[in-house]
Amino acid sequence: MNDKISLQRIKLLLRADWIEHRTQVSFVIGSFLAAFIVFFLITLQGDATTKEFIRKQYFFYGLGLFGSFIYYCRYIGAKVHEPKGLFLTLPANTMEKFSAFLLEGFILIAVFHLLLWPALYVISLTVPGYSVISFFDIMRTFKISLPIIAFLSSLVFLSYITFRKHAFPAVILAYTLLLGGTIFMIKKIVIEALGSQQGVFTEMTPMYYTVNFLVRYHVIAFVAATLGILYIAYLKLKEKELR
Amino acid sequence: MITIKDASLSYKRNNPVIDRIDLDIQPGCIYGLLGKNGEGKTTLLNVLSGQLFLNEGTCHVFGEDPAKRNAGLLQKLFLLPEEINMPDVTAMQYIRMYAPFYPTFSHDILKACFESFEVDFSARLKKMSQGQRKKIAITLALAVHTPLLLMDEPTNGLDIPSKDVFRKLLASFTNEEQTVIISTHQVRDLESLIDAVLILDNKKIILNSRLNEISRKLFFRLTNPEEDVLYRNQTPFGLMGVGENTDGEETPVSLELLFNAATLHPQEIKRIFNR
Repeated sequence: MNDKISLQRIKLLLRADWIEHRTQVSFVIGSFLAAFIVFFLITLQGDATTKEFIRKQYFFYGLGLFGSFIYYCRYIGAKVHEPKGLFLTLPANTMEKFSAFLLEGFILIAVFHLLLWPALYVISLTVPGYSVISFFDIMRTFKISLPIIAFLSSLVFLSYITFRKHAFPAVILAYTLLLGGTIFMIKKIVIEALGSQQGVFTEMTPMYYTVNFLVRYHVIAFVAATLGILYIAYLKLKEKELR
Repeated sequence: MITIKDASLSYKRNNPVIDRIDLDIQPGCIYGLLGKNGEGKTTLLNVLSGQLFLNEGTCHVFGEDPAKRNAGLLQKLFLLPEEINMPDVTAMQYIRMYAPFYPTFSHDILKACFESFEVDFSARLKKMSQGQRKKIAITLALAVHTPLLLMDEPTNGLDIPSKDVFRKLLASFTNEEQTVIISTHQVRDLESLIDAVLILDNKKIILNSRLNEISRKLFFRLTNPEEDVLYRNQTPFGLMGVGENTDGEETPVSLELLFNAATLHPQEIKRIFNR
């Protein structure tokens, strides 16, 4: 009974969120612009070399993107865990609500980039020797780590959907366990296991093939893991109760 | 229309809020859902609207499980919570946010509510008093005109004239195809509207009956101290009592007396109504 995905309802969800949050979005855009002005002033300080300018741009790009993403996750968490609102009973399927969330995330990233590049070009017009990094420079720099960034971001997203309180500390704990567990596995299992077999048919062990496979196809592995985490986030939203 | 079978729900282990209840709600009635504090009235409304899931048993609303929260079912019901978080928008924007989700939304009812409640719908919700925000919330609840309307303490926070307006609007704009379930402690506010009663007590439904059946099976009148009644209460007019109606004379139902009698003598009530 009317449980198919409806683009019209997704549009209504986006429209309702826009009506509710457009004032707040204006403040966020104002904050972006204020941050760019601060960045501009910082750019004028210190070494006036092209390399230094580029380094600062990468730094502020990463910081801005991280800040935007945390703001987005906090917004999602507030919406999902709102105890006295109408969100859960709003006539839309869980998949439609989830899709609206993801679309809002992409829109926020798009808005961030639409504000960033003009601001950097304005700075480049005023500061001699200032060279603006391009989007493709960033993609080349982050290419290897983009699937990893997507995976780690999806964990943050899942945490904010799952936990009403302390979502960020939960994520830090999860990252710590993940990193610690990975280092432990590499140290204990891979290095020590390989170490004992050094010089003796090392390249023919199952461990070698496993590690080799993961290194060569890590992009696919992280993409699959990201999709898996997003699916878990969808299930968490489906199971959300007013408790 | 609504069928609940053997339903239980607990917030904490071994401490159910509702315990193995069965319930059948027929369409076309305005139900008063009565119960003491903490008996599970809000919980029941949250189960019917899909915001809480049962630990045991089944619940079907219009033939569907509300826990699945399918869009089609959610379009047919609206829950007005007792307290509601409202965004920082104007009242008119608030209505425009949610109205398009409901195919049954009625602009005529919206206009009637605007005029009756006399609230400035261009004012921001955050700048309104609680009572004014409640009026906006009630306006939305009535205007969506869904086949099932659930209301949790709708008159809380309303001034006396607004309660009267609410009664008139509810009476005017609910039809035979709609079912309304109103959870309330303020029985006197809604006595003239309700035509069926649900009473929750000690985690169970102890009464689910229409008022005409109640007036056939129970009497509500002045009694003397020796008369065998389920409950009596001293009033300025004398000793008002409620008891089993054996002489067939129907008397207007007093929800307060009914509630007190039912919670003091649930087994007797069950006996009288299950006969």
